[in-house]
Amino acid sequence: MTPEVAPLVACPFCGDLTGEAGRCGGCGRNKQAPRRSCTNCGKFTPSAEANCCHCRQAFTSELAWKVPVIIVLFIAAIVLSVAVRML
Amino acid sequence: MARFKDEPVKAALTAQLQPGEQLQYYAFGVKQPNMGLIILLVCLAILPGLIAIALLTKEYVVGLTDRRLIVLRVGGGVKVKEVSEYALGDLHGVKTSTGSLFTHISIGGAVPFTAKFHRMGMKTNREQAMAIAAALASKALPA
Repeated sequence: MTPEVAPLVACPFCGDLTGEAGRCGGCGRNKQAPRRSCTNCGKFTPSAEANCCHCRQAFTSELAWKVPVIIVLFIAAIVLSVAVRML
Repeated sequence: MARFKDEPVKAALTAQLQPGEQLQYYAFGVKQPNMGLIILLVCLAILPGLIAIALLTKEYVVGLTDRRLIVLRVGGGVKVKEVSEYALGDLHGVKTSTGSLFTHISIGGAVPFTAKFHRMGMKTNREQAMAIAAALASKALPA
């Protein structure tokens, strides 16, 4: 009877096939860690890292543009309602 | 009306599969901001409030395989923004519930995940979400 062999899983960050217990033998990262795609190169980087591990592009939070947009929307709505009331 | 077709969703999930891994179920879900914030935003101004809620809602495509639960955070169609995965043998703090409208799935542990699934995501979204919830509940370890 042959022992069950765990399938070789390529590291989602560097593509290395070595390593064990979920850790990559090439880059040392956790292969199962949450990862996000880089908007510049499209490759995956652990979500915990601030820069893309492939092209070094800095990640910015989505809230960096969403919060100002929401604030502007509310200000516009308030200004509009005051203007309508004054007419 | 379904928001996503099955093919692009399956393609996005298939790209994350390991050799020999089989995709069993997949569904589209969302995580909205908490109810207090929703009420506050809508009370301040209805239209900007609804737009703000839409902007703050996270969209997920969840795939259950024979080994893992794969969670893709998507935006702008099925463009993958972030990938999380949970080994089926190591699921902690799983809570699932199915009501008349939504199926809720919540996973605890180091990387928590919560989303609700409705009928409008894909053609068979509700059935698939219920199947994922049932499978997760049966494999869950105590929190």
